[in-house]
Amino acid sequence: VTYPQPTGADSVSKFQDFYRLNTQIASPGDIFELDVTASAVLIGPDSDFAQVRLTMWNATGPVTRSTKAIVTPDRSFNAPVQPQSTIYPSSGQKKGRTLFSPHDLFNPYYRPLGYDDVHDRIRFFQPRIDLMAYYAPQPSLVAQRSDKRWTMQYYKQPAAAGDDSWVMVPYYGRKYGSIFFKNLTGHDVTLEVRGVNFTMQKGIVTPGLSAIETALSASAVLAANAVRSVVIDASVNGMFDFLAIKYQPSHADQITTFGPIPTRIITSDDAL
Amino acid sequence: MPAGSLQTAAEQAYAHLYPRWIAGTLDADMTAFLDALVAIFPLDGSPDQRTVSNWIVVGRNVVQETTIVDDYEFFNDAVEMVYRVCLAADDASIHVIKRITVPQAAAVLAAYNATLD
Repeated sequence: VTYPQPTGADSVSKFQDFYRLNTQIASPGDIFELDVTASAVLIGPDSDFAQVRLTMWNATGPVTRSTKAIVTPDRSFNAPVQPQSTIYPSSGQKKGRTLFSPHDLFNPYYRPLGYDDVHDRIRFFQPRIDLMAYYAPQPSLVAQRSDKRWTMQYYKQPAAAGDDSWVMVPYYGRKYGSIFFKNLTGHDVTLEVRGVNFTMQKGIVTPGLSAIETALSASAVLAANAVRSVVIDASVNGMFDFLAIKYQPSHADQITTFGPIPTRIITSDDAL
Repeated sequence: MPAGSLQTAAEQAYAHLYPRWIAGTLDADMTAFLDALVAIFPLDGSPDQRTVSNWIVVGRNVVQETTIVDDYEFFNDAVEMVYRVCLAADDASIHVIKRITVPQAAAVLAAYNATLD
């Protein structure tokens, strides 16, 4: 986790009327806690995760039981979330804090089908969790995430021309995506885009196990100075955890510096 | 076969919990796993330790919320909790600045192997 975590006490002591957790996650096991009462919990504008699990102590049932809610851009938790001062022996004397954790799967050990662990390379945009908790009732809540822009130009060099360099871009719950490529390397580049829904398997040994992959743009050569665009529409292509984008150099010159291949990606919660 | 690392334990959670779900013992086995985690993290603990031990609260919630032990959601939620706590313990113990001790991380793996493998 990004550490130390923000605490509710920090924001209260600074007379803020909200708590905001906005951090890249370091591991699929990251979990966060809030120890003050919130009137509403919602996904923040910068979140890559679309589903966040809220585990809270039960204010409307037996005191020893916790309950859960999944908050999404479409559904905030617009009701008081109250940590309990009780200590819970069943959980190792834990105090009754409210807990947040990503509900979407993130698999940092994913490798695309066909990935060669010796010659190919992969880099992730680490996904970000942005969660807001208001301390006072709000007249209205807008949890829709901002459109997000991802810009790339240079890439990790694979071992040789013909090997692959992959970039992984978060896409959780997005309904629309737009990708533009321009090849300014002076040589051909082969590009491919896949939609990825993760499993919990490591992909380094057996790449095919680590995700369900869907072809969004077949592997094809982009000539020097040429432009390509790819549009992803949830109603046509489905929804994905991440986009996997392959850049394959064709010439040894591209191994010294693999780029520039300007790439611009826009992802949106709005459908086309 | 016992998992040799927390990452392997996480990856194998589905396969290891599957026969317990089929046999109808998954709730008891999860409870045993959570009891073993409580023995490793018996107190409220520091904020560092809670980046792992807070998963016990989630695990108890998963077990408490199920009413039918062969429910697929229970199976999935149990697997996901085990997957995430193993990776949380791994991440908290592999960096130079550790949030839990290496023996605690080893104990989480041992708890997994003793109760779920």
